[in-house]
Amino acid sequence: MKMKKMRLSGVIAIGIFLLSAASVFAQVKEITFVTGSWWETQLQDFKQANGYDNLGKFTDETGIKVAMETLPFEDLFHNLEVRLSSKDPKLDVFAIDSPLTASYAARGYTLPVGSNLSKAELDKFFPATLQIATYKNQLWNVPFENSSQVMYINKDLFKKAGIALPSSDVKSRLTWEQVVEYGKKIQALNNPGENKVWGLLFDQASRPYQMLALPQSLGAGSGVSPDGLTVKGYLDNPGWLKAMQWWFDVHNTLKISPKGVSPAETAGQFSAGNIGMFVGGTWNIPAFIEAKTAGRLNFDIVPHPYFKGGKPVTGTNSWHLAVSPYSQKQDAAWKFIKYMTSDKIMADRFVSIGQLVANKVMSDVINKDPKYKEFPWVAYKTIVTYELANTAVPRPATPFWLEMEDAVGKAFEDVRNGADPKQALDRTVRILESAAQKYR
Amino acid sequence: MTDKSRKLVAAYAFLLPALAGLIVFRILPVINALIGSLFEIDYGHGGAMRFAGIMNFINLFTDFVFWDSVKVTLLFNVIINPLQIAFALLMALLVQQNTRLNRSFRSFYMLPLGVSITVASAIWAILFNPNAGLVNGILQLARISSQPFLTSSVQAIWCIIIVASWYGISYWLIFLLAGLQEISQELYEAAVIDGSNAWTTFWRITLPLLKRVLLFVIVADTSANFLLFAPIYVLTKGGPQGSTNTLMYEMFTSVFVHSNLPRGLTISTVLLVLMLIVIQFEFRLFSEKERGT
Repeated sequence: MKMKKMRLSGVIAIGIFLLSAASVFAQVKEITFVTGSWWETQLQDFKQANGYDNLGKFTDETGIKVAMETLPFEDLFHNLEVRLSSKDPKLDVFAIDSPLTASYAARGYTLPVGSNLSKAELDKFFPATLQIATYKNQLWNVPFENSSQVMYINKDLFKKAGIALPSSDVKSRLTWEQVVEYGKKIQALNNPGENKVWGLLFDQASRPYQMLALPQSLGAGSGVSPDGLTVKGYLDNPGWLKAMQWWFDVHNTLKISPKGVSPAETAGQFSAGNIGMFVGGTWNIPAFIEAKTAGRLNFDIVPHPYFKGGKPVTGTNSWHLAVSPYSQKQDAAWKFIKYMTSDKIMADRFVSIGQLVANKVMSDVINKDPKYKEFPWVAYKTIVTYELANTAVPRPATPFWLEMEDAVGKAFEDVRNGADPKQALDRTVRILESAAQKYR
Repeated sequence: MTDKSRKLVAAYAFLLPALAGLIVFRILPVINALIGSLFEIDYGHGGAMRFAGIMNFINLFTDFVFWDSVKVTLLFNVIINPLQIAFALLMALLVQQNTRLNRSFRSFYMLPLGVSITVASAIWAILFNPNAGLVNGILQLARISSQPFLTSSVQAIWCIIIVASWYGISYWLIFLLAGLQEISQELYEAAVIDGSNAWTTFWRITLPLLKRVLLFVIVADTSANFLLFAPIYVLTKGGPQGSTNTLMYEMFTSVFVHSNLPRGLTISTVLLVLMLIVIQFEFRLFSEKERGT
C-alpha cells in the first residue's frame, strides 16, 4: 500500500514539475498597459468604425494578450509615478504625457528607445513629435498621438448677439482683442443679475497646455530658459505679465469667462449651448456632433486666436508610449508599441477616434479620405494641417516640468480667481527657482 | 509555568493581533519615513537614491512654501479644534436626556457619518459652486450677493472648516455622549438639592467627570485635523494661492504630483514632531486643570 501511494505521489510531483517547467519556457503571454480612462470609449469607437478590436488584433497576430488598466487624468499621473518610483515589475507599457519626457528621463522612469526602433521606423513620425520625445540627445519614448487647438463658435449665440460669423481661414483669424469684443456682446445677452451664457471658455482652463499659447503669442516665450533650468527672467517678463493680466481681465474685470468651471466640465458647458466661443482641442468634435444631432448645439470651427501684433501660436503634442525600465517583458512591450504606431493602426485610429496621430500617414488620410471634405472634419484639412506645420509650439523641455506644470497651472487658476497677476508670477518664480536647484 | 506568567502570556497573545497591526501600519511607516528623509533623488543618475543626511531638512526649512504651509496648518488647527469640540460638547449636552425628541434628534446629528468624507466633500463641492451652487442660491433668496467660496483665498479655508466640522462634530458627538451618559444621575440630583444651577453643575460635576473622555476626544480630534486631507484634495487642491495648503497636502503634492518622495517623507517627519508637541501641550493643559480642582 505504501509503495503504491509513494509511486502515485511521485508521478504527481513529476507531473507538476513538468507543467511548471513548461510554463517557464512558454512564450510571454500577457503585458500590462496603463493609460487614461478615455481609452475605454475610444476603443469602442475604433471597433465600431473599423470592425476589429484595436488590442485584440495584436493578440491575434502575436499571441500576446494586452491587459489594459485605465485611470482618470490626474490619478493616472499619480499612479504611474508611484509604480515607477517603486520599480513595479508588473508595469510594461504606459501612456506618457510627452512634455514629461525630460522629467521622467531624469527620474529613470522610461527606457530609452535605442535600437528598438529602426531609422526607417522612426522616419514615419512627424519631426515635432520626435523632438519633444528627445532629451539629452536620446529618444525616451515613442510618439503616438498629437494634438491641435481650434476655436468652436456657437452660431446661435452669435446670431442672437448680432455678430457676423468669423471666417475659418487661417490667414484671417480673430485676435484675442476681437474675441473680447464679441465676448462682451454675448455676455450682454444675459438678463441682469443672471449668468446663463458666457462669451468665452477654454477647454483646459488654467492648464499650461492651453495657457502657454497666450504668452507665446506675445513673443514672451514658454517661461523657461533654453537649457530648461531657469525660470527667473523667463516667467516674469513683460509679455508673461501682459498675458496674465489679460487672463485676469476676462474673468474679473470684463467677466466674459466663468470662474469655478473645471476642465472636466468645460466641454459639457459648450455642448449645452451656454458658451459663445470655446477654445479647445479637436478631440471634442465627436461630442459636439452628438450635441448638434440632438438639437442642442449649432457650432462652427475657426482657427485659434492670437494677440494683435503678436504671432499665432497653438498648443500641441499629446500622449506617447513608453516602456518601463523595470518591465520583465520588454521585447513584448516594444512589439506592442511598434504595432500601435504602425501605418494601418494609426490611420484607423485617426479616422475613428479623431485624435491626431504622430504617424505621417495621417496627412495621406486627410488628403484622400472624402470624410475630410465635409464639415466638421474639413477643419482638419483647412485648419489643423496648417497649425501643425506653422503655429504649433511644444511645451518647454525641462526636467522640472512636473513642478512647473503644477505651479504655473496653480498661478493661472489663482489669477482666474482674482489674484494679482504680478504677485502670482513672482510667487511662481520663487517656487520654481527653489525646485530647480536640485536639477542644476 | 506559574499561573501568573500563564495569564501574562495569554494577555499578550490576545493583544498580539492589535499590536501587530499597530506595528505594521503605524510604527514601521514612521521608521520608514525617518530613514527615507535622510536620502535624496540623484537626478543626474537616472533617479537613484543617495544619502543626504539632514540636507532634506535644511532645504525644507529654507523653503518659503514650507513655512506658508506651517502657518496655514497652525491657523487651521487653532480654529477648528476648539470649534469642533465645543460644538460637539454642546450638542451632546443638548441631546443627552433620553426623551423621544432627543432620540430622533440624535440620529439626525449622526446623518453626516452615513457617507464617507470623500463623498461628502464631493457633494459640498457642488453646494459651494460659485455659479450654480445651492448655498449661493439660498443666499440669493436672502438678498445676499453670490459668494466666491472655494475660489476666494479668504473664504476657502472657512469652507474646508465647515465641511470638516459638519463631518467631525457628528463623529466626536458619539464619544462625548457616551462619556456624559456614564455620569451617574444621582450626582445631578444631589446637585439640584444642594441648590446648584446649570452653569455650576456643568463646571463642577459634568466637566470633571467627563475629563477622561474629553481628553481622548481632544487628542484624537487634533491628530485627525492635523492630518486632514480628503476635503482639501476634493475641494481646493491647496489653493487658492496656497490658502488651504496644509502640511499634509504639501506632502501629498511632493510625493504624488512632483514625484519627490524624500521631500514628502521629510515633511511627514516634521508633521509628526509638530503633532507630538501640540498633543503634549494639550496633555499638560489638562493635568494642570486637574491639580487646580
